Amino acid sequence: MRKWIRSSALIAVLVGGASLLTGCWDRLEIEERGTILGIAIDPVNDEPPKNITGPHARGVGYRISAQIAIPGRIPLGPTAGGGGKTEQPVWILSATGKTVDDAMERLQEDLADRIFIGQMRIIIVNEQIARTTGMLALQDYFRRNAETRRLIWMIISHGDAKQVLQASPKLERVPTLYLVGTMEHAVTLGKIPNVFLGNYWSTLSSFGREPILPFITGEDNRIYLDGLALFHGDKMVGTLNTLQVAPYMELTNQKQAGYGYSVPLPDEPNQSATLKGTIRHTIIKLKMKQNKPFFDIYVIINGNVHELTSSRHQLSSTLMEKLSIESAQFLQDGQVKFIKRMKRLGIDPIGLGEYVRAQYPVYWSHIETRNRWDQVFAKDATIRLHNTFNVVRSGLAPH
Amino acid sequence: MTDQRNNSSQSMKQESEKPKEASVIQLAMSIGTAIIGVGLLAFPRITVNYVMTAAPAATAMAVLFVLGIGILVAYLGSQYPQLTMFEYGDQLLGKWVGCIIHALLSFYYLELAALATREFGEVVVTSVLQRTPVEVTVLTMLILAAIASRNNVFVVIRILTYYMPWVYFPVIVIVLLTLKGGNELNLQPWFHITHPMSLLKAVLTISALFQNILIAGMFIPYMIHPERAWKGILIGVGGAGSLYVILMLATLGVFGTEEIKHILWPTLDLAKTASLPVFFIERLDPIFVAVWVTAVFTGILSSYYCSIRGMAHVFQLYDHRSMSIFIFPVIFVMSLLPKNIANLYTIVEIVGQFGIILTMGYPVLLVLIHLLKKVLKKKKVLRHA
Amino acid sequence: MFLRMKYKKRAQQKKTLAPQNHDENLVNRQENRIKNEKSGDSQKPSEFFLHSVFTKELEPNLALFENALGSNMDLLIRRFTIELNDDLISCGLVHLDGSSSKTDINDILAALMFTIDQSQQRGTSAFRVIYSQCIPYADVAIKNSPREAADWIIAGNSILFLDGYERVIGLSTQAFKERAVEQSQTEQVIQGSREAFIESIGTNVSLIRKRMRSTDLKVHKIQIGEETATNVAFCYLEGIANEALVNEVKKRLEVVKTDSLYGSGYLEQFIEDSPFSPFPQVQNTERPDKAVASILEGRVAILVDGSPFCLIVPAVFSQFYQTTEDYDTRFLMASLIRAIRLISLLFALIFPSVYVSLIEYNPEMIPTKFAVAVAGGRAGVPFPAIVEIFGLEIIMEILREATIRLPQQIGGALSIVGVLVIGEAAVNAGFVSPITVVVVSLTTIGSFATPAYNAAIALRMLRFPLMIISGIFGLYGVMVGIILITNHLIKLESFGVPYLSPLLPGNKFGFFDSIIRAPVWMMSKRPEQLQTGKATRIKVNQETLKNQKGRPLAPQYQNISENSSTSSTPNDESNQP
Repeated sequence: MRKWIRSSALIAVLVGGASLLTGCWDRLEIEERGTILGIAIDPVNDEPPKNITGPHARGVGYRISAQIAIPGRIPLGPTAGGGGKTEQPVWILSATGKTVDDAMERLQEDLADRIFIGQMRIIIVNEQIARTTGMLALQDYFRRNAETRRLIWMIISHGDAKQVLQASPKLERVPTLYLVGTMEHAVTLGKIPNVFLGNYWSTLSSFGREPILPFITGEDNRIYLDGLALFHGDKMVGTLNTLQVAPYMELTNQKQAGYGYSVPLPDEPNQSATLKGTIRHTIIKLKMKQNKPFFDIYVIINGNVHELTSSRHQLSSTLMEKLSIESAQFLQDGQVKFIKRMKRLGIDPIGLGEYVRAQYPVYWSHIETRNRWDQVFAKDATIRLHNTFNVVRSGLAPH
Repeated sequence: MTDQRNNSSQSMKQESEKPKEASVIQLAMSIGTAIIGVGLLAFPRITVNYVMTAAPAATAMAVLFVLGIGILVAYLGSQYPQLTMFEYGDQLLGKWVGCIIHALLSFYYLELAALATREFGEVVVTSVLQRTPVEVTVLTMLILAAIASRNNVFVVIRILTYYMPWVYFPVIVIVLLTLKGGNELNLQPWFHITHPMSLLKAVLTISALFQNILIAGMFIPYMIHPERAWKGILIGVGGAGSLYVILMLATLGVFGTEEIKHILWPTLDLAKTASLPVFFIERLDPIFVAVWVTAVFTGILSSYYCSIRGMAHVFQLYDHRSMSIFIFPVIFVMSLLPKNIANLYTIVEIVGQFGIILTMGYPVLLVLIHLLKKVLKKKKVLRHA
Repeated sequence: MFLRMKYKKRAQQKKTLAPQNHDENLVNRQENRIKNEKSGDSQKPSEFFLHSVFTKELEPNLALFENALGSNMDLLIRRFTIELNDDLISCGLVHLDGSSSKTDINDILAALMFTIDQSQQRGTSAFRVIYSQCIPYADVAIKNSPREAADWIIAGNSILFLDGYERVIGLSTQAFKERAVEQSQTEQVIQGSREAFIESIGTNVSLIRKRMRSTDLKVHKIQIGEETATNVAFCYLEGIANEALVNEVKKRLEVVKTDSLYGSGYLEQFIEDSPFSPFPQVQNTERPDKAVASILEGRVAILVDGSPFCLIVPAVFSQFYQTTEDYDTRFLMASLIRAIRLISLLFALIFPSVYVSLIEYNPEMIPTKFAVAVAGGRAGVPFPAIVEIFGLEIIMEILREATIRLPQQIGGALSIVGVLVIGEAAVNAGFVSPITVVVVSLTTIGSFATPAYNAAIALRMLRFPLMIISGIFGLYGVMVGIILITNHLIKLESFGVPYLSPLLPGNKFGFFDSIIRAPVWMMSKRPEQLQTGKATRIKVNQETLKNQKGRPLAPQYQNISENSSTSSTPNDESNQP
């Protein structure tokens, strides 16, 4: 009896194992995948988009351009092959469709290999789409696909997104990787906050904070990082240029400071000193006064003197103190301007609403949604700024 | 008095003289591993859906609740150091009632194993092997568990003990890697409950993750010192519980409540958010899915083992090995019953919340009867005196 | 006579054709071992000797042996006469040429033929006198039956027949040719001892004795193999090795019934716990120092005559990556080297399958730049990665096997040719991608870092099924495979000791000598899983060890011209806080 059970079990396992051997369902060689490195999404302007997923596909229509790596064009190892230097290592394909999935299906029709977005590092969205149709419908496809990385960049482009994708700078063989490098270096330099896709999704889901995305322009073979795109929910409502990003960074407690700015030298209006922050720390305190939120924002920045245009001034501790006070004032002006603009736009990218939700849940239970918080933020919220700037180093010896 | 009862029981059962090999640390580690299963991946979402930011607090409450149950199991084990839970259950409840409850328990663990297998099958098929049929992934997991469950109790303890670091270490690594992406604002308010019922449901749902704790009832009689089992259970449940709390805190801190509600398996997405910038590997989630196969395997193994031990007891079989083959097709079919992933999670929640009455209520019932019998006997002795 | 022999022969053949003797027990086997291992023909004199007895006459006795063994070309019978107390005694010396030492025999003959008549020997009988006084030889024995005598002769010894006695004198002149003790070939070390076991069991026992002069060291002998009558010895330390373990070893050895025993690996297959497991559950070593270390830990070493490998039971997984040298090296370095061995072990096992799953299933895990490059490298390759790497791994195994068989001078050349030429050519021909070649070579190198040869084979072979399952399920499959292997390892036991001990079930001192190698003074106990007597090995307290270290040569700047005793006092004080 026991033997019979044993042998039958063995046979069952063997048969099962053999049947497993017949199917390698997911096996797909790396060179047989249509490895998409980056995607650009543009609106369809002229002809109406055709759909292939059936007549019920609804959507404004997108033109998706994908940058696909061509295996074999990028040689292994550090030395490039002699002959094929002029050949592009990537291939850019475009397809239109009513929805993102629709367009991706079209793309698949053009491409023999199966599309693989596990290596996709960047999604560039045309500003026009972000401003009109919004991001919700657009990001859903990527969010559902388990292949999508959470640590990739979603970027809003000023003008044609495909052009950004096509821009091929000379520094890097693969254009997308150059773009990714640009973004990553901007983060480490403190130029923009680290808003990767997963981060964007989290912010998009939360009610007390408006998402932001990097804003970029591409021209021929150059790429400019223009600042940040501001959103109200999933719709883009404005931009911050590079100078305006600094107050945003200061108010959202981004530790890495990277912006330099000039202040006039004391007693010498025609000369200026340039300073650059190194490390900052922001504390936001919330109180409720007469059922209205009341924020105290303390920004503490350490910075260095980078340049003095006048040699008359010997750097001394009094001068450093004066520079500190002046810088703090300068920064505060920028922040005040920033907050005023945000209130005018009726959005809260700093995430003050999250503080209300976290610390006054009863009060928050009357708000509950993003729109209502934005109204409260624009009307009822009072924000007081307290800036401290410490000039720490001067580069040259003080006398 | 208990000694007397043990003696009588020894004469009753031929198998009651059990070899004693397991140590307290082994018990602690094996319980700590048995408790952690595939529920790890989805529980932040389920909990947050019930109680929002109070989820960590609810998790901690559930851990305390299960600790209490664990102490009861340990108490019973120390009172009947020669018997497994099913054996003293028979003694306390009588043959017939015991038989029914044990059959129910075995069937329930069968269902748990089936659901866990299916759940992980879905995880694998969704995140790693998109075009592999879910039947195949379910089958491989079941084969793993079925083969392992055929071993004797010491090997099962050793297996569970061995995988402890494999289960805990990756979770801790993920939490450490994603720590800087967390925001403590997402965790606040710590304890803001609007509906007490939803809190109860959340606590029950999380406690349902700990149901494999009854495997301790199978292990205690094989310990060198069954009277010290409470230490092992405290450490095991405490360790697993703190892992759940840590994971809850990490996912909530990184994603916030609203985002968690959107994500099917928040723990897995936490792994997607983690990156090792200097390392060769860019994405960690396939690795974690792979390593979590161990966690899922140990969870399924524990349920499977509980189930076949219970059935072997009900059918009066000396050896549980043959049961493991008979059950295999049953469990396979049961795991394929849920129609889709939404259906699966509805079933998981319902089964969890109601099953908790069975699994957690059973030791409570046994302790009550045990105490009652004890008091009655004392009275009888007094009367005789 | 000839006819009788023929008849005997036929009867014997009939018996061998008959099914297995059921009453074959220990006694029977010991009787059977008289059979001659050297005789090429099928003549079996055992029956013959079994029923014959010695007579008082010399010639019939000699004829007995001449008839039974005379057809062997190496049987020599030397007849001579000696004079003892004015009596002439005819003698015969029977021995096997080549298997016995000629010089020894010549010495004995000289002693008997020249020296006896000069000395005035007295005794009750001539036999007694010769046995106790006239043979200047250490190892002599009296044999009462032809069976014993024949047994003695066949082992390479000689028998002295004396006319007029029903007993004979056995002289242990055995001298089989054996090679000298040489350096170990399979387990080479840098710092440790160089000696290795040889094919002679006597020498091997002496190699162990040399390292361990303990009266507790017991060496028990058992003969296994009905035809070969191979000597098997198991050694253990009495009072330290668990008694139940020793009895079990003895029992398992006694149960072995076979006609022949080729070597220790042959014996291993009879005594191991799970024959179907790919992992060796008996450790085998060529190194006496390893055997001694194991015996001291409370294990049992089994030596087999004719095999230079010693079996050690029980064995555990950690044998895969431990060498005796570890204990000879300082602990920090030894621990690091162990870590490296463990990594290379893991490498040899899973690296190809991880590569396959990365390339075919999860390319998203590879950094983008590298992924694009890998895709480029693979662009022209006609096979899927799994086929490519599977084929290359098999070729690598062929190369390795071929290199072992080839003479050493050619072997080196072939491995270079194989690796460089085939690899390079295959890449150039577009057969394989360069990265696959890298992966395969790394795997092979990793498998060479495993100190134990038989253990390394297990992992080398297991990587093939792992590759297949990774080709079906990717990383998930690799994990499933690893779990299957691990579960098997957890289940495995060697003489009741869990294979993964001391890690599992864990104990503190066990951990000290598994993944890391703690300082020797910290490993104060014998491995717990062996359940030894006298568990404590190192009796010196760690504190006293630390405190007694003085600084006799510390630079002394003060009072340097004065006498040194005063200046050294501060040191002594500082050393005793």
